[in-house]
Amino acid sequence: MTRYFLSSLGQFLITLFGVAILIFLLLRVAPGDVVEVKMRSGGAVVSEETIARERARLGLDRPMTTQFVDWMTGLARLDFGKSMWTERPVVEEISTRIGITLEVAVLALVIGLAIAVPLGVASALSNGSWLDQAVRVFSVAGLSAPPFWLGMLLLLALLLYAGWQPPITTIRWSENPWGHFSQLICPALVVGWRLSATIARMLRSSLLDVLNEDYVRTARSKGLPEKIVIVRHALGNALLPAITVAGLEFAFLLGGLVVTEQVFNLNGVGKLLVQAVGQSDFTLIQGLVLMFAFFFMVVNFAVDMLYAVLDPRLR
Amino acid sequence: MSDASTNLHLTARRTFGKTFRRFARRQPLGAAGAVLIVVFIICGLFAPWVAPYDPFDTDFMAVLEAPSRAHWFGTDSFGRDVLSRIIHGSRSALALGVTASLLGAAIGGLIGVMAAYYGGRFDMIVQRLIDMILSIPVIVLALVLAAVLGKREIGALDLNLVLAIAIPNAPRAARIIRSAALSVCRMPYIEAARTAGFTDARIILGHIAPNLSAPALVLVTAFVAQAILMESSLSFLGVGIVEPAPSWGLMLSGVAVSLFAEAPWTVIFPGLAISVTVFAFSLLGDALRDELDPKSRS
Repeated sequence: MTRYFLSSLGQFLITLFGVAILIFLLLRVAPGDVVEVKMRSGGAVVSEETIARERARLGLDRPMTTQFVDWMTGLARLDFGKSMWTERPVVEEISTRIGITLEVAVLALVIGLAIAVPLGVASALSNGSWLDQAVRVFSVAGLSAPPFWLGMLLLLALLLYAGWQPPITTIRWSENPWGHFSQLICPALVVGWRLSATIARMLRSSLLDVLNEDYVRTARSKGLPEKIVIVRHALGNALLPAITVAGLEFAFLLGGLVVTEQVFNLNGVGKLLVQAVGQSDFTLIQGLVLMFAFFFMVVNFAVDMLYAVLDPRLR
Repeated sequence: MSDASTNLHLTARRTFGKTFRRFARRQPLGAAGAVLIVVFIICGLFAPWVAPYDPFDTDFMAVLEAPSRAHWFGTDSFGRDVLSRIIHGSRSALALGVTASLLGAAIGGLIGVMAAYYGGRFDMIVQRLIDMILSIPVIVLALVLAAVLGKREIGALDLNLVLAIAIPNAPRAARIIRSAALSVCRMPYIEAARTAGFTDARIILGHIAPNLSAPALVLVTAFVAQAILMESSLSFLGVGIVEPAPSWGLMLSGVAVSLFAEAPWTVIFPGLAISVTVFAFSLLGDALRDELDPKSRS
């Protein structure tokens, strides 16, 4: 087990390092940088000299390898550098916004699971019937509608039928808990539906597999009521793959809220990324992408370890 | 002679009809998706004749008009006919969606087959690279790629946008095709081809790849759905298709809450077009997977 853990950890670090190189190179091969955007965006006439001086100040004129080594040594000390636009530390920019994104993601996961479990079970038990088909349509529809459009429709419906518009500025939990929650619930509903589709389909197929197992037949032939067979014997085992999928989807959500945050005007890390991309703020983009990848890999790693603990064959 | 050829033609046609009817009976939802896709493709191909107005025609006397007999889906803030813009938008959505997913599946599929065929160190390196790309959320990678690559148009198609959508999907294709190719690579006839001295390229393209057409078909269909959704998201975020080109995602971007309360049709219909198209491809992809993949058949 220790060996498996260490080799997985090694792979984890290599992958993370690879993502760092990848995103660094990707941003550097493209023409244009933050200085161009900052000084020339309004069509302003700025001399090459001024631009060069600003580049030198931000360290953009140094060779690529120097920049990379610099960034890496900073990372080793958990220093992500400074945003090239606001010149505040990247860590500070992210940490002030990560909270709201995490809250939406957690709430979406809760909503997703609450929808997915009953739907997945119902469709597995009625395999092939009209109910199964209806659940399939509901799930595929959830995956097909663009989240930003669903968000707009939700806002529109609330405005037209309830005359309610979500607050435009961020409301803190400490100021007004209900106002804070009302900001989160709409995006969470939209994203939750999407999540529920993936989870419900996974649960359906894993439950169908489990229902064909010998021990389920044994439980049935013992004369146990069907309800107990399903809830106590089958569902427990069928939930594991569904929860894995839920975990991985959740891990993706941190970066996946990019579009949703835009619609609901939430000041989270997704919106920050769109801003950073628009401003060619390299250090901030690097920091964000690395954080998304890190988060995803941590969840992945945790799932792997959990499986190894539960199933010795995998070690 | 002519009799035989007409007969042959008829048989072929009947077989297709029969196959489709059998498919429709077993997978009614998938068949519905296929029909919808055909309708959308026809609409896109014949857009100038199907659309009632020119999609670029502004009419400042008819700004934000509600749906009427003259404008079925109303007009937008420039007085352009929403229905015509949606019909013309289906061109870019389908063209981009199909090219991006074919390209992504081709790149990823080739890498996947090679990883399965060569195995060893090459396979290991490919796996790590796939892990790296897969750990970045799709939309994040696509957004950064689209912004970094900029625009490079070939005809009406923005090649860099196609790349930005294809690249994040390629590793997924590689992983799926690799696992499907592993079992094919172990077949005796591959060994035989190797013994016969065929080149690797000939074995991979001529002997392994044709056996992977089923998973590839499922993959591409599902990718088209993802790619259309991705294009609309990128256009919505302002790094995809730009004004005044008609694009579904673009039609939804920059609309303030106050505006869409006043003119909800400018929001409802383009979104509906995206949803229905993606829905159709997803249903077809699902049905194809059920039909072609023996493992998922329940």
